[in-house]
Parts: sequence; structure tokens; C-alpha cells
Amino acid sequence: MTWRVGIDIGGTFTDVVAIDEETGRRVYEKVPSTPWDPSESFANGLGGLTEHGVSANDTAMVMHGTTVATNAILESKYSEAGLIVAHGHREVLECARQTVPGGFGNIAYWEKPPRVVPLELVREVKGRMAHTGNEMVPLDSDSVRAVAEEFKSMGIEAVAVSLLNSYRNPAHEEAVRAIFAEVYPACYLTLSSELSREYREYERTLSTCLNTALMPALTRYVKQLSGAIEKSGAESELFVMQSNGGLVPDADIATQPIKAVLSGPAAGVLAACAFGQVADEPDLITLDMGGTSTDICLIENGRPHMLAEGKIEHYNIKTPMVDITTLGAGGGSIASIVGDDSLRVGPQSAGASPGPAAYGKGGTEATVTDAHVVLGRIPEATLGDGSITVDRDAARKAIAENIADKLGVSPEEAALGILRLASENMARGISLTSVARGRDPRRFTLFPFGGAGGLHACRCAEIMQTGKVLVPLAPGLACAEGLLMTDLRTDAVYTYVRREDEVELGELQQAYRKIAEEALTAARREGVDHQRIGVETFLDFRYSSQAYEIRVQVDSHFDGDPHELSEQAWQKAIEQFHDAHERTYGYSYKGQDPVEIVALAAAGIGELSRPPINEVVAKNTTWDQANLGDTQVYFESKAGHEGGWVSTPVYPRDSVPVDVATSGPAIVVQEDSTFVLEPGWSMTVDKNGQILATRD
Amino acid sequence: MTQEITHFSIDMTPYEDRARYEPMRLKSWPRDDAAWERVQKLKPTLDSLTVDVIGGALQWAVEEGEAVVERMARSSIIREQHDYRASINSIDCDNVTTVSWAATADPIRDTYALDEIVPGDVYIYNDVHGSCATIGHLPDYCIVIPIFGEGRLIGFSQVFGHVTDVGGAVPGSWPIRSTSIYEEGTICPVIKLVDAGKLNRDAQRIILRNSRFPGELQGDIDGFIACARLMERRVLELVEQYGADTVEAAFYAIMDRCENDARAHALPNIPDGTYVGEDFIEEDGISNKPIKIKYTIHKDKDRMVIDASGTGATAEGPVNWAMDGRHYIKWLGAFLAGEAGQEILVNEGMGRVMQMMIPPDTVLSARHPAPVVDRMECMLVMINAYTAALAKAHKGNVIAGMMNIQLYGIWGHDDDGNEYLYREIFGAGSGARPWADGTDTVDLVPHSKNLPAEFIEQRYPIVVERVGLYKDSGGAGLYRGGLGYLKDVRCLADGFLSITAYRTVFGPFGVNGGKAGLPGVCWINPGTPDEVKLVHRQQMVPVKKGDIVRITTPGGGGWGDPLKRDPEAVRLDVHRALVSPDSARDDYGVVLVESGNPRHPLAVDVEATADRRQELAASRAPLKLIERGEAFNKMVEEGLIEVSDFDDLAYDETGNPVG
Repeated sequence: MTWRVGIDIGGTFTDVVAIDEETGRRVYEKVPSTPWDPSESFANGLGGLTEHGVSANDTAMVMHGTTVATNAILESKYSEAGLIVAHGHREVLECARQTVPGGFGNIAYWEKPPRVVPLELVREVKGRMAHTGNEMVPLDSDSVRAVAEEFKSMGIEAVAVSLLNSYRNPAHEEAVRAIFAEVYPACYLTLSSELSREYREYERTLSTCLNTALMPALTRYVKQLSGAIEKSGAESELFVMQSNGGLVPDADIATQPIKAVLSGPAAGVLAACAFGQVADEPDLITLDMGGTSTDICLIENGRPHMLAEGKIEHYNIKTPMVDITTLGAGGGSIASIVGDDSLRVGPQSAGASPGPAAYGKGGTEATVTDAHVVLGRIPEATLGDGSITVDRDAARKAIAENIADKLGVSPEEAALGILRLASENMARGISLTSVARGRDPRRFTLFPFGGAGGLHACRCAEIMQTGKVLVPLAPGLACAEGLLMTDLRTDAVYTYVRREDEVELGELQQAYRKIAEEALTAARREGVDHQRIGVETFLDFRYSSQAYEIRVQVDSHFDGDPHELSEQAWQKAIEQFHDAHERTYGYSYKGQDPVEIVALAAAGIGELSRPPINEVVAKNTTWDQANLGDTQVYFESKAGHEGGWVSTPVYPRDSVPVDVATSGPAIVVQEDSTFVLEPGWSMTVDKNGQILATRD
Repeated sequence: MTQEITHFSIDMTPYEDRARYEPMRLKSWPRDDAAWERVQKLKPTLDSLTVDVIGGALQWAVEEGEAVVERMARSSIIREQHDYRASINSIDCDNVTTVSWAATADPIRDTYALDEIVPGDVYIYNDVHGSCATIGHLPDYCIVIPIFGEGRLIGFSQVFGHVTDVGGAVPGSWPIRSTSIYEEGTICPVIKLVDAGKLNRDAQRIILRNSRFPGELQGDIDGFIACARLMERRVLELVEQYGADTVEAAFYAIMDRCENDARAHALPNIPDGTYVGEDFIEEDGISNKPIKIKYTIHKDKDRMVIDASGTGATAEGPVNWAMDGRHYIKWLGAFLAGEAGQEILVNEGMGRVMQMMIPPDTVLSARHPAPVVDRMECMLVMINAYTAALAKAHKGNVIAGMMNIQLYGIWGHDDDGNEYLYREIFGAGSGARPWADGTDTVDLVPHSKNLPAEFIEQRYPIVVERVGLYKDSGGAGLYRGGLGYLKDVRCLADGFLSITAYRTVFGPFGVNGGKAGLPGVCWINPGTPDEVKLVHRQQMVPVKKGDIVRITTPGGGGWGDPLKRDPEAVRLDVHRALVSPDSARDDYGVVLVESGNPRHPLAVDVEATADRRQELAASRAPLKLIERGEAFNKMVEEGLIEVSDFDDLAYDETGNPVG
């Protein structure tokens, strides 16, 4: 028996899923997060597995999704970093691309956010490469040394190096690294050429700065986590999810944290794809609501929308990522009164500590979770394993004092107002990912997960006029499960700009072999039980003087050594480019204009087995028998349904009948989350234990 | 002076006098077809979400279409600098989505009867004076495709873009000394490039043969067609889903939204009354005299009317803008929309809330065969004139002056004899706001990008020695104007430099006590005995291999009294080398001393600063509402130009004029 373990650290809870690789049996564990030292909850979660019979010796792989990099960027809480640029280019981050975001006229209103590296920490060094890769001016080592010493004396622990034309020849950047190794070896250093071999200096420099500023925190972080694994007695390496949905060893994230900016949320999206597939619901809008934020992603035909170049906050980041919209609203979002009587929800959050008032951990502010508790939507004593209890009086007090009394309404009315605002916010996020991309949300199924998704799903669906909601078996653990449903993936890119008639096939073949081998080596890791190891190779083409490339896949194979780039394969790739151009843009210049190759790319893939999604054992029961006992829940009035307190059945998730419909209102409780089936909705549970709710 | 009138109501009768004013829209295509009645009945019944979804899909189609152009086009002005815009039009040629600047499908309706417009047609044109005031200059080629849903014409998808070259007197087709449209390039009237699916190869050959860079032009045109087709496809998907009537009804509902939102949320923020604002074009390339753009803005609760009387006559040189009031409203409408404090999608609906009335034969209403290629200065100066008027309505609480587009080009042949044209559109500093500094080196136009050095060096015989900020260029103020560019490029081959710059003598104005920003000029070999300083527009100035060309662009105007700026903000600006110690002392009255701390090498000398500020305050003239800089003031004093607000004083915190 070997176990694969996925651990997702959220703002509030740390979720652990262990899957038996052969049988697909799953074991779940949930512990409170420990933001002051995430490795604590990581170790607690890992340790908690032994009680379920998952021994450290049998743990083959530990996978992890993290929001550390994301939060650092969102909150601008990364290390103070220095930047080294070529002489004459000190203000590269200031000038940026001269673009004002937003619509025409926004120049009058937009305020440029602070730069990742402030101008006073940018240093120029003499030395210059030409675009051909030839050295125009030799690097002035003395000035580099002086800068290294200056940064050292100033206590700047991270430095970005981004020299002009280094995408073509990184020798100067490498020389800077060598000098730092001598003068200031403890410095976290990122060379732009290691991160990206693409031209356009501003974008490359920005990514390099963000990356280096994140390195100290991420390095310490993965070290703590791998320490926790070691302490648990497991021999597994730690694998971390990248924003593109592939896993890499933790050391890669320590040096390239920029690839993990959407690490946590990407895992949840992969889980949604897999669960949607088994439920025959390939078109989903995910609603991943945790304690502090909500992530929304559009999945069409079982595949998430991807972006070749992502964006987080206002930064464009040159790595492929899942197209996720993040809202700063979650179960822990704090409600407050602004001005005389204007109710606001968020953006402040009570997080895991002190948490909502209802959790009795010292929280006194009124949160979204407290509003649910006051209205009876989270029945008492149903959360977690008993380590967290629900204190309804405390929740009521928080809502009364902070909101209801100030507005002169009952706590129930105040709580309803909070939920209405929270749901409207989420509906706006859903609209951004669907309506704004020309997709009608009405033909998608809402897929709520995270601890709080199920509490809001039906309400959001009503606002968006979506007819269906699909709730996975373990909504609070979807991100952790998603970690176990993907492969190891390492990408390598090499810029090589030549017109097709100038390409020397020998030279190209050599470069091709080199990056394919690089990618394969990265994928072929000791101690990992891969199903198969393979490599996918790509060539990027454009017509000469176009600005953007189209990527053409050359090869994908899983049979050992890299294939050569044969002359036929090269010619075929060019043909594929013409065809792809025709397909995408409606025309091509086949037979007229030469194409230009811009880059070679390879992805090394360590394919992992997909654990099966098992059917649940059908319970010989009825909804009536399953009812734990009715509880009073306060619902808003709407067409056909009077509001107020309504007697509502409570069903435990693990003992409900399969394939039998029931109608709302109802509450389905389980360890990690609660689903509220609003009046006017019906639901059935399918063979995999997923709830499909439909509007009457 | 400003006058505030309660229950003010604008008298529209003078604007009916065609001898004094041109119509707001030169031509229109009102409809009375069978579908029209159904669509009108359907419109009020549409639920809000359906309008949202269709509106979102149309806007997304425009973005997708523009992304196609960016990816496929070959002219750098299109590809890197986003000088192109797509839009979806109703059958009566109104922009439903965000606007394509002036461009619409009007010229198609003007040229062809409805029954001549058939599926499979692709129209092309750049005919400035023959396109119902929808195309501004000849390098802007426009492509239009009719959209047929359920067998009837329901609208058009349309895109224009600024191509590299369409022939004419100079490489790059931007002759800044032209005196007639015929010098500016090849004129292509509205034609069917594709007639019912059949490409007119002969016409295509004529168009391409008249460009110095036919390969780039073909790539651009193909990109435009792909863009328009994609948008057409997206509209047809909506028709399939909702039916043609609903989609058309949504078109009109989306335009109503713009009107309603602007009236409900933007207009109430401006006090009713009449306000005058002026700004100046430095010269027109032929006669060395400034040209005024003057706006008298009337505002009541239902609308804003901008009267352009007093604007200079059609210029001899090519700074004319051959438009009508309809286009200017779509351009300035964004700034009215900005007053709403919430996002308003500006489309044709804006013209029902905001109107512009222009007399015939002005620099804003030039007609055939007036030269127009450099009408960009009008576009920018017009915004400043509008702001100067609003400064009176808002008692100084407006953004300061700015000039955020200028263009430099070097043309020649490289060592291998290949012709090249390095041309770049530069942003500049934006004006300071009543609540914040201006922004450094930004372009006015969304999505516009500068050219990466790594791109320039790959493509042209140019080395980018330096790109950065132009120190001290931002106008001093309580809030500082944004800084312009300073860029040094080294020529690796002989060539010719052309300059299309608009604030080379005057500075962008400061507001409410803020100083004007520095003008942006150009030097060849600065700091050497051969140094040459170039002001105004210049055409084909020879440069030699090895020469350094230094380009600077203007800083934005400052806002508020510079002596009230936080001394710590001044210290940081000096530490970052954005402001010189001299300027800190003389403009801001801030005295800095060395601190000995390497992290914070400068400190404010608090006492000396207080003294210095007192001294400066005692000796200066009262602060002005609009400060246009020394060069401008000198011309006023010499009687060479007039401006109505020359003596207007700044407002203090209580809303009264200072002093």
C-alpha cells in the first residue's frame, strides 16, 4: 500500500487528503492553519494521518499547493530587493511600458502603484551585450563588486539582475552571479536569463524582481515544510503545484517562486475538472470560497481557461497560468458600517486567528460566517472534529453590536444584509469570468468548494440565473485533492530567432536536443514512481516582423531518450504553423513569406497515475431517515417563498440516499463544510456522492 | 469669468444657424424598416442581465478582435503602440461598443445603397475628406464588414489602424509641412476590397504599390480583416442564441445605458453654468504662429454643450482635424464619464448628453483639400482646453495640463542597403491632480506601449544608450506633474530624423498655483561642441552614423502651491534624482542636507526650509489658476497671443480666489 498525500494550506484551515494509489481509497484530515508558522499546521496535518492508518513509511509523495507567493504579491509583503541593470537603464521599472490601465480617460485618475524595487535601490553597471549576443562593452567587474558590497552593507538580502539583451547572451549576468558568489554569497539572486529567455526588457525585469523579492520567504517556507516531512519519518520529497497546474520539486519553487503565484487555486481547478467529468458536467464555474478569499474559474469542456501570460494584481507575469479571478471576500470577511448606515463586507478578514466570533477564539468582529451562524445556516456543533465549536451567542452578539444596533434592525435582518452583499460580490466575480468573456453563466453549472462555497452557491446561482449547482463529496478538500490529479512538469525555453532560410539545421538540432534533454532530466527524478516519463517539444514561429508567436507542438513521446529534430519534422512544424495561422486568423502566407523561428520549448513530464474517483456505497436509507432533526433557519423572502424562520431538515453528508431527489430547504453538513439548499431548489446525490442541485 | 445660474437652461436655437455652425453630425442614417419597429418594442422588455451578457460578449469580441490585430499586424505603430481600434456598429452606423475613435461604418452607407451591401463584402478606405468625418489622416486604413443575421443587415464590424506608410511626400507618410491632402499619401475612397466573397486583386495591388513598405501594409490589412471577421462571428453567435431582434434591441439598450449613466452620475457633479477654456497649438509647420482652440462650455441639468467659436481658422499646415462634433464628443466624453466616479462605457449614447457645435472652416472643421496628417496636436490640445474650462467650474479641482503623445522617427538605409524606419510614439508626464502627483512617462491612449530597447536593437540600426525620466520636467506643485522621457539613441547608420512634438516651447499648464511642466525638445549630440537643439516639428533632419539623438518629452503641469508640498516628498524626489537640489530649493523652498546614512543620504533642514519658504512666498506674484509657463506668458505680454484666463487667480482651501 502506498499513499500519495496532498496538503493545502488555506488562510483558515489546512486540508490533507491521502489517497491509496492502487485502490483510490481516500483519507481526510483537517486542522486549523497556523499563519505564524505554516509548517506547524503542515506537520499537524501530516501527523494526523497516522491515526487514519496512513503510516509515514508508506507515504510515497507529498504534494502541496501554497498561497504564500500569491499573498506576498497581493499584500506587497515581499523582501526589500535591489536591482542591477545595464548602464543608462536605471529607470526601466519607472518608465515601464507607458501604459495606463483601464479605459480612455483613466490617465486623469490612475495612480501608479509602488514599484517592486524602489528607484533608490536600482544600480547601473557598465557593460553591454548587443542583440546579436556579441559583447559591445565588457562588463565592468569592479562596479559589480562595489554594488554587491553596497547591497551587503545595506542589508538587502535579495537582488535581481536584468541586463539588456541577456535573453540572447547571458554571459554578463552569469559573471554578476560569480562576483556575488564571492562577495555576497548569502544574497538571494535571480538572473533574468534564468527566468525567461524572451526579449522585452521591462517584462523580463519585472518578473525577475518579483521572483527575487519572493525568494527569501519561499525558500524558508519550503525548507520548513520539507523539515516537517522529514520529522514525520516519511522519505518523500515535497512537490509544489505551479500556476500552470503541473508539479515541481520544492527546490524549483525556492529559486523560481514566481511560477507558484497561483499554486493553491490551480489545484482546486484541476479537482473541479476531474469531478465535473465524472458527474458529466464539463462546463463549470468554480466558486472556491475559503476564509479570506474566493477564487473563480471558468471550465469549458472539462478544461480550465489558461493564459499564456498571467496577471496578478497589476503585474503581468511571464509564466503560463490558469485563468483565475480572485476576490478578497471569504467566510472570515468582516462586515462593518461605513458612514451613517452603509453596510460593507470586507476587504478586511478575521482570517484563522482570531477568526469569526462564532469560533470562540477571541474574534469579536461580525464576519460572514457569523451571519450564517446567526441565521441557523451553520448548525451548532457540526464543524470540524470538535476542535472548533460554533458559539451562536457569540456570533449573535458580534452581529448585534457591530451592525444591527447601529442600523436599528434585528440581528437576523442584519445577518441577511451581510449575506446579500457577500453573494452580490461573488456574483460580480462570476460575471467577470463569464459575462465579460462573452460566456453566458446560465449555461454553466456552479461548482462550489472550499469551506464556505456551499453556503453561498444557491444564492449566487439565483443572482446569476444559473440553474445548477454541483457540490463535490469533500468540498473543503478539493484543493488538496486536485494536487493528486496532475503530473510533474518542468518547462524549458530557448530563444533562437532566425528566418527559416537562415536556419542552420545542425545548430537548431543541437539546441533542440539540449533543451529536450534538460526537460527530461528534470522529469526523471529519483524516488518518484512515475507511470511514464516523457517530453513534449514545441517550436514558436511567426511571420517575420510580427510581434507574437504561435506555438506548434513537434513531438510528444514517453519512450525514453529525446527524439532528434529530423528535417521532415522541421518542415512539418513550419507547415503546422501556416495551418495554425490560417485556423486562428483566417489567412496565412504559405508559399509567399518565410517564417521566423523565435524559440524552442520543451516540457519534461513525469506522468503520475490518476487515482480513481470511487463510487460511494449506496446507503439503504431515505431522506427522512437520514434527517438528524429539523433546525430553525432564517431565509430571505423571495417570489413564492415567504421569508423568516423555517423548520429545515439537517442531513449528514455521509449517510444520505443516492439517486433520490429531495426538495429544499435543507442543510447538508459534513466535517469540512456545509451546503445550504435554499427554498425553491431540489437535489439528488449521485453514485460518486456528489450533490446535484437544480432550481425548480 | 464663471457665472453660476440656478435653473440654467441652454438655449439651443443659435446652433440651428448653418451659417454659424456646422451640424453636430454631418450625415446620419435614420431607419424606418420593418425590423426597427419590432426592435423598438422589444428593447424595453429586455431583462437587465440579457443586456449585460450581450454587452459583455460584444465588448469581449472587440477585445478578442483587437488581440488578433496586435498579434498579426506588422507595422510597429499598430503592433506595439496599439494605434488601432475596433468597434461594432449598429445598422445606422452608431458605435455600440467602445468607440473606434472617429471611425464608423458611415462611409459605407454614404457610398452604397442598402441593397448593394451584401454578405461577403469587405470595405476598405482611408479617404479623410470623403468618409463623413470618420477618418483623421491617410495612414489610418479602415476595414468594414457588414453583419447579416437571420438574412438581414443588422450592423457592421469595423476596425481602423495606423499603418506605416501610404506613400506621399515623406517616408512614414507624416509630412509635417504639407499644405494639401494630396501631399500626404495615396487616397483610397470607399471600395469593396472583397465583393460578395471575391477579392479585388487589382485594387489590392494598387493599394500596396503605393506604400514604401507594402509587406507591412499587407500584413496589417490582413490582420484588420481577420479582426473584423472574428467580431462578425461573435455577433452571429449571439444572433443564434438570442435571435437577431433581441441582439439589435440590446445594441440600442447598451447605447441608452451610456446616455442614462452619464446624465445620472456624471452631469450632476458639474455645477450648471458657462465656462471658457483655451489651449494652443504651438505652430502649424508652415506659419510660425500659435493656433487657439477655444471652448465655451454650457452645462445645465440635462446636457453639456461645447461651443468651439473662437477657435483658429483652418491652418495652412497639416494640424487640421477634419471631423464633426459627433466624433469630438466620443473623444472628450471619456473625461465627462470620468466625473461619474463609476465606470461608464462611452459609446454613441454620449452624444445625447454632450454636444459640440463648431463653426465652419476652423482647425477642428477643416474640409477638402486641407492638409490633416498631424491632427494629433488638436486631439491633445482639445483635452487641455476642456480641462481649463472645467477648472473654472470646479474651482481649480481638475487635473493639470499634459501632452502625452509625440512621435519621433529615423529613416534611412542600413549597411546592407535595407530601408528602415524606426518610429516611436512617446508618452510624457501626466498632469498633477488635486489629490496626487502626475504619472511619469505615460501615454494617453489605452494599451499604447513604448518600444523595448531589445526590440529596437533587433530591428533597426540603433543602439538605445539610455531610457529614463527627464529630471525636473514635472511642474512643481503641492502635487508634482509627472516626468517626461529622456531617451538617447545612437545611430549605427546615416539617416534622417523627423520630429512630431507638440510642447517644445510652451509647457503643459499648471493648475491652482502649480507650475507648468517643462517642454520636451530634441538634441543631436547633446553636451558636445556639435550640439544641435531642435524645437517645433522638424522634417528629415540629417543624422550621421555615430550621432546621439536625445529625445525629451514634456512633464505634466503641477497642481497647487509648491511651497506647501510635503518636504519629505521633495526629499525622496531628490534622493531618487527626479528633482534636482536646485529645484528643491528654488521651486519648493526645501533645503536638504547630507545625513551620513547610506540608506537615507539626505535629510530636510526643517528650519532652513521654513525660512526659505517664507522668503519665496514674500517675493512671488499671486498664484494663478492656470499657469502656462514663461515662454507663453512672454508672448501674452508682447501681445502675440491672447488668453481669457491670464489673470485668473488660484482658489484657496475655502474656494475663494487667493489674495
